[in-house]
Amino acid sequence: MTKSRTELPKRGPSRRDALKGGVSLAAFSAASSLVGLGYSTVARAATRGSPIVLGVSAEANAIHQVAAAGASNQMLPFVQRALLMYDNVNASYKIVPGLAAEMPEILDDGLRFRFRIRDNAYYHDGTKVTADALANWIMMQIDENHPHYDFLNWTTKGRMRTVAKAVAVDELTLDVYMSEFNAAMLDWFTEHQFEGVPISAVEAGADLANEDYAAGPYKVARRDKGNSTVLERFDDFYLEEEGVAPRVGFRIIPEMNSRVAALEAGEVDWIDSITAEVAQSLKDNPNVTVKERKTLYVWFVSMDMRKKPFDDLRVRQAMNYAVDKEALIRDVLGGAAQRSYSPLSPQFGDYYAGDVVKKYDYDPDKARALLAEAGYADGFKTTIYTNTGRAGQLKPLEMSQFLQANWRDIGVDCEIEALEWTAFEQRRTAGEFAIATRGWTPSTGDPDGVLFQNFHSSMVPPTQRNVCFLQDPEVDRLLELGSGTLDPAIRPQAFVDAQKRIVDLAPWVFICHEIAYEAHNAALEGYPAAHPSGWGNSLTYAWKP
Amino acid sequence: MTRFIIGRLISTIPVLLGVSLFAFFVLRLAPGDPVMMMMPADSTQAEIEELRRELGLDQPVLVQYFAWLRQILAGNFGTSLFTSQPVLSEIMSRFPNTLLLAVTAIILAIVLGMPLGIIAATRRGTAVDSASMVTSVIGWSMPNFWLGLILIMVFGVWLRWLPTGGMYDMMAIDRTVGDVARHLILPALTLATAHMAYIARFTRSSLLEVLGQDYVRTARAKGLSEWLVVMRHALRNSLIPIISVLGVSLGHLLGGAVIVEAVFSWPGLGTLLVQSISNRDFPIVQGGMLFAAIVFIFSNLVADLLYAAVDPRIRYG
Repeated sequence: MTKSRTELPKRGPSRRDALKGGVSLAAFSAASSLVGLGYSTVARAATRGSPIVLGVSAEANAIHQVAAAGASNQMLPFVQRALLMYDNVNASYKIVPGLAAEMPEILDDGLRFRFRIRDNAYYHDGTKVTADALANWIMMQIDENHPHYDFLNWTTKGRMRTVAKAVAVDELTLDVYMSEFNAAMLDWFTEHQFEGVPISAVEAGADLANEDYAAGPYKVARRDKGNSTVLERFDDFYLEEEGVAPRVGFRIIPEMNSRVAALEAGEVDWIDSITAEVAQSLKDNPNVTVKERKTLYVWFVSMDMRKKPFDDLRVRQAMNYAVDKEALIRDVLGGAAQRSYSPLSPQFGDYYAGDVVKKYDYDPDKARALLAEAGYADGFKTTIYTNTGRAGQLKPLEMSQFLQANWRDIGVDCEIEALEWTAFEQRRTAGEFAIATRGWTPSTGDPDGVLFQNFHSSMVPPTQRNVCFLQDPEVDRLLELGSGTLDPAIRPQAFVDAQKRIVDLAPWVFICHEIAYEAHNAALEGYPAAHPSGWGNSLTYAWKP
Repeated sequence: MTRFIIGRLISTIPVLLGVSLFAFFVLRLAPGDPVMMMMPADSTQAEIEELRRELGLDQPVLVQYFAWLRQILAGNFGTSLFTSQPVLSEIMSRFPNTLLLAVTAIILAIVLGMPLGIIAATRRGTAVDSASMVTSVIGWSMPNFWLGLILIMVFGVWLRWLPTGGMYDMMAIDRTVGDVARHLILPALTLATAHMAYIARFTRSSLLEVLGQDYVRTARAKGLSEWLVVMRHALRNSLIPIISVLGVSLGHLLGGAVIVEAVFSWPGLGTLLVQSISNRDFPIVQGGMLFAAIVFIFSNLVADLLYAAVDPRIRYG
């Protein structure tokens, strides 16, 4: 049953009431900063329990992701839906239909995708989702002569570069044509460039940063920038079972300790981005459940194969054997990672090659022998470049210090130079560093995002990310084979074989795949597993009694 | 007086120009590229360059600076690179929250700090004096992120008397002044503590200086009670330097109480600026710094005018 507006529970203990009326000064500013107090009166019969509040570290820059730049955000899966999506329910990277009623037909050798759009999908303004709206939306982004090409400063062009055109065949059939084959296209159909908005909203010049024309299970009821966003369940969402809680609040709490305090005080029901140490301490709290999230992430050290001594395979292998990855994960990361055997984490499923690649288990004697064989019996001097830290880079300085100590044991005298993130990344992608650390989260679940960009010979700096300058015909052949097909009989094996070859050549020191943590109110129901992407996802099924 | 105000306002022009230069170039001299922050890790260089062109960041820096100055003179602070929203509206959506927090903190600091300073000065050399000054040293020395977290743990998590952060109960249908006040107590107290200590020490030394003046001795000789001597004769004169301290403190706080706003997730100017600096959101940072400079200059001007109101010896113009 839905609670009426007047039945909404008052949060917080009654003692707080005693403090009411405290600082009268609040009045003059509160009036100017409190906006949009009204909620829609529409309510959906199937909602259960009371509203839930999520304590998130960062705010969504815009209601529609496409209208802003920057990282993805927790609100996205609640509000938006694209043609396809990742499997929320089973918390996997399996691609399933979103606004499309079923997976698309792949025609013309992968140069045309035919989508059947759901007959019961609606945007939040009540407009039906149609092939016309989606075709218009896609063409707006790619056709400079489209009347609404200037509607937004499109940051999606990179992702749309292989899309030639989109055509509405009939009300609910959409054909998307490719200019060239793109094996990652199915993953890209899960992104916001394929959500569409009503044509009427486009023609009216809607402000997608602040106005909600999305088609997800929740719609924006109130947004106070910098502080919070409140969503309410969208009555006309196409899935009955998704979107259980009547309302979902997003409270922006940038500071981790403050997020934890808010969870322990019962003010929020779920928090993201906590460290392994905090996760461990929260496990003692019976009112809190801690969830582990194994990710696609990989943390590695790249070695420039053009530069001495890293042009010698034996040196690169020695650098790998010298590192005690398990101890690093245990002592520096508090156990919050899985050891890496190859570039892809186990979360890549069929593409994972950790079981079949050459393993560089910790063996300093072997490392010393390899160095001696390569003519570096007395070791050598080098500098490892790292960054001073940023979300998604784990603990770059501490991890570099650990590596420094391990390499010192085999005679490698390694200095550490830590740079501010953007300066570091600019110089790294320019190919300036002989060895450098990096954490990498692919933006989709397709292995191409890790393998092709980092290891194909066409991807070397200054324009691309193959900073180890791996230029191996066999790796190229296998990556092209995998990237050039959607055939499940060929693609996974090609990428597994490519990884075997890459690991043999050791252009990276393979370190770890991050395990992230989140915590929630133990009373929260309908939320069995955290999605590896970390973007909320199956939280859309959560509710609180 | 009018001439004085006009003169002061005119003299702010070179200051603001200096701030604009500093804000513009210091960000660009610092390493870091907003486009890299905006794009996913697996973006290609072509995608990155495309976005750089679209944002106009491929233009020479001087061209960008003069374009920005032209915009500012036309009253347009530009558009956020990340949210695509007008900079002024982003700033103004946060400023009232910062103003509320800063003014509350300053009032708390005065209400607590001045009596502490007065007591210390009038009981000079006693245990009360020492206790007051030790209290103020502790208040001044405590890092406010630490104090904030302790207050959150005690009053938010253990006792559950007060909320741990935010500005209001976000899920409540109606927002009340009382609700905002409850959320304001802990951050305002945290912010006020250091300023309270500063004001207490300043009040003490300023009052001690005045208490040694001849006219105070005269007042005592007239047989006035010590209370009247201090409150009516000494305190008013000792307030003059304190007003300038308050002017500067308020100016600082209005620029954004960065750490306290972060700890209490208070949606103010400080958190906006910090986030924008780490994103290299140039227009927001430039606009925010210019705005903070204007507020700082204005609060100092107000302090100067208050001088005249408190001290009849000072007349402007």
